Amino acid sequence: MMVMILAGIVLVLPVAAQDAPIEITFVHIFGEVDNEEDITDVRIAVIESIIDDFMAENPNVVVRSRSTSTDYVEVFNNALAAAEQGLAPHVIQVEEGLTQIAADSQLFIPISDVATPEQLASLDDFLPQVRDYYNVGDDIWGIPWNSSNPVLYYNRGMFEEAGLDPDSPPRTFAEVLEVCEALSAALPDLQSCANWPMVAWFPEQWVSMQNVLIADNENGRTARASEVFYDSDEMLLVANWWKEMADRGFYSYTGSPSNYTGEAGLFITRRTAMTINSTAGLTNFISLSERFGIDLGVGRLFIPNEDATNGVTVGGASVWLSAGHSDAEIEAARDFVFFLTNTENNIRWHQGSGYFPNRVSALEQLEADGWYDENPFFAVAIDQLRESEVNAATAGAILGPSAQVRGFLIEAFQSIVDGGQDPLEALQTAATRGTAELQAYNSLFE
Amino acid sequence: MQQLVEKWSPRLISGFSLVFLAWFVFSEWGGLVRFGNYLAGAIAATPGSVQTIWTYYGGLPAEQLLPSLLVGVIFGMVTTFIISLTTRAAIRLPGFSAWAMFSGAGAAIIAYAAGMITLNALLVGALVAVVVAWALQPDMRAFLSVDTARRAFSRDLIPYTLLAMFGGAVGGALGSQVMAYATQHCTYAPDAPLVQRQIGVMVTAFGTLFALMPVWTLMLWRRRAQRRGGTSGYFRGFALPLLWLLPTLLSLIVFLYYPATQIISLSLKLRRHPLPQERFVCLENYVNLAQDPIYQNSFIATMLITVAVVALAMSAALAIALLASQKVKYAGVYRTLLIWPYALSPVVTGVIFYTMFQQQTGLINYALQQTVGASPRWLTNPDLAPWVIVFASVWNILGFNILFYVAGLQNIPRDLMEAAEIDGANRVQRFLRMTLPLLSPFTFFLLVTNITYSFYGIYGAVDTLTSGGPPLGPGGRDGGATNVLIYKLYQDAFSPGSPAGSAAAQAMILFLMVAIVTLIQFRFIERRVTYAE
Repeated sequence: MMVMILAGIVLVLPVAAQDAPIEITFVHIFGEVDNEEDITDVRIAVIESIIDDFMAENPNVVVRSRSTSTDYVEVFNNALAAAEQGLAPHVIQVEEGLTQIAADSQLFIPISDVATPEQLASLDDFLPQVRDYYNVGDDIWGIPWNSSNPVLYYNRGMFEEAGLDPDSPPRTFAEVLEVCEALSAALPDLQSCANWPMVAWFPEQWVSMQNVLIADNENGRTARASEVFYDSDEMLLVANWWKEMADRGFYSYTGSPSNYTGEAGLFITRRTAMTINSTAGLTNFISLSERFGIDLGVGRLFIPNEDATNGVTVGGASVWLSAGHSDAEIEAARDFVFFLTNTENNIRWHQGSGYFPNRVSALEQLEADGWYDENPFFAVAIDQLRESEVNAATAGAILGPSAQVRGFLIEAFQSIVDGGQDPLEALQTAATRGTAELQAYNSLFE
Repeated sequence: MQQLVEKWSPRLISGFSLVFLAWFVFSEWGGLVRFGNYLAGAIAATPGSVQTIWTYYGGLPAEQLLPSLLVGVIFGMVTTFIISLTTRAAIRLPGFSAWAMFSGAGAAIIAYAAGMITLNALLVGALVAVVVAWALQPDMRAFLSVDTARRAFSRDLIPYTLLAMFGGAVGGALGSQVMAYATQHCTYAPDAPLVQRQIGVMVTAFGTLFALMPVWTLMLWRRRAQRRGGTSGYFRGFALPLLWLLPTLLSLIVFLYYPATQIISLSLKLRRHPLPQERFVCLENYVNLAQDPIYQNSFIATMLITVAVVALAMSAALAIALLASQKVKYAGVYRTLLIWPYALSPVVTGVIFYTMFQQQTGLINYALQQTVGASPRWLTNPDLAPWVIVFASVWNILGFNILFYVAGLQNIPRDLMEAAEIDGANRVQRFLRMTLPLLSPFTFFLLVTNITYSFYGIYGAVDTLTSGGPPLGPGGRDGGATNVLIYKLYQDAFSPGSPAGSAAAQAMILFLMVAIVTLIQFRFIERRVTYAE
């Protein structure tokens, strides 16, 4: 069959001349531009200029950037569908949640298999908290590219109206309750004191902060995860607090899960005084706050209690190489990936998007240039990450059917917050369903 | 002028067609070559697959092959025997009345409530339906009389009956292998669980049915042709009709039958989208679905939402159509505006309803807050969320229904209504006794399309409004309030890591459901429909 398809391609495509440039394709989620003058998202502009620089340095390589969708899942599905036809893109942006399934998909080659010793050595420059997320076993699969974690956005004006100090946002669950009491009393028109997307990412952070694993086998690092610990006491603590927030009218959400944009909208339109969102939205939060006249404050994601100092996990995506291309193409793709994530481009990417710098050298450069003194908001996420311990809990869990298993946790929190269900029972259900799902997935690889 | 048009228009049309074809071939050349290569590859692979089948049967233990053959032979012989008798007018098949259907469904529900597994409960229901149908046979005497028996076994019929039974046995034996091979005879394996064996027999019978259908069609066709008095209006041979059917058949094979076989084969496997790894698990996916409380909830939710959508959309459409077909100024404008919602896709409808029913920022709650001071959680309350889906779907399909009802109302002869009026029928009587029956072909058509819409087309509204939620029970243990079958199917089929094998099984079940509903509708409801002669 493969031969027939290849024969088809050969028939269709004009035979490439020997000295033709090496063409590689890079797929990402940041959208496409037909006309360079139309660029409104500054992130695409940064990507395109990095590509131009790479091609200037490597005149025999042509890099085409494609965005088959603005959704991670679609980009991944499309890449695999293209691979079935023998048309796999060379460099693919893969979201953290897809790490295990991507490693299992047989589409990719570990970067550690093809990188030169110098390139591998350059990876030591990455913040260990970031690098660990994308390693499965001993293999380095993807190079971290757009990394983020959650931060607290709050309305300083509302804090002042409630007689609170706008320079000290709440740090713990208990403080959030106190702050909300004051805010709700002073501002009765608020829809609720706080809102944030109904996602599994935040409870995962709060559990990681208490140095507790989400899944067995060291969060799925030493072997495939086969059990989730969603019913742990630490997760129950999160659920009980979240339920109290909802029951006392301090928490609300748009009603649809994973609605990052919608929740940000509630905060920007002054319906809530605090929200949690990804640092990836930092530039948008800053510009929208200016437009709507909000005195924006950015703080660290609050911790469950004073003892929960283990730190946060990373979100975002990395860039992976696909298999099944000529050696020359794979080499070009490999070089492009390292170029995209080198110190200089890491800085450009950070300043243009809000995703944080992954490299120690990039951070030092930014600090030396005084970037963080001028833009203190950009420092919040990176500081809370650098102060995180490097261990299995902060490395984050990699789960095969991660969308499904995380979906069960979301349903548990929905049923607690909306349906008034018992937190322990709901979390036990999520754990049972998650574990069954993991074992069904793993049975494919026995 | 007339002659000129008549002379040139066919040439012009053929000319344009040729230009279009040439353009198509030119611009799509690459795709055509690839398509051709696929077909060539498929044909080249045929000897290989024959070889595969041969070696498969060579290695198949007799204890697995024989039972499957036996099921096919018995099923084929019995059914073809009955059909052969009906074609010779020796007996008449019982008509499945509404009573039979109701008692069958009732028996199935009672059996299920009494603790039977789903499959057995359905079997009991089917048996009860058959028995009731036989019992309610209108001319029981003719059916059971000595005369009937004598006719059935009269000498001149015996060779024909034997021939039919032989054909049925052979066809059944071959047909049984269609599904038996597809399932790798796994349900006849010695270690197969009882449930899988039961389903296996039914699946084999089902495959046999498909293989026998052409035989029966031939038998029944001869009878109909005899009745009609000749075969005029039919093609004589087989070659010419086949030639005309070839393009349709080809595209059906490539785009429908082949993917359908792929779905069947996927439904017997454990697989995670989009990974290549897979394992054959026989009917496990189906058995797990039948026992899964979340899938059962999806089934019930789909039924309830469908009933609500169909009832509301059709009655509201009829009411509005009655108003819209009154003779008022600008009636055309009103009608256009009423039909408008149908031009929007379900997704757009969902987005519109989302902005209206959003708890904090929605228009509905703003109005309610200002008037009665309530702000219900439309999208996160399990009792309210299905209604939002129902409202959105009804609003979306309403225009379509109005369109047909308006057309139907215009078709009702005015003199008929006038005659009724003169005879003293009042408005209500005229509506119930005249308008409604005369509209029945439209109602029937709309019933079929609305049910299909509620099964399939509802996806967009669910995705944009509730994402299948809100969860029922702690942690969504009992499913989601709006997690309808088509939404669950899509979720299980296309998100990374999702159980693709189970999704394929769900697709098969959904397909069977729609097929059965359509069959029932055409067989029982269409008979009561008054088509204008």
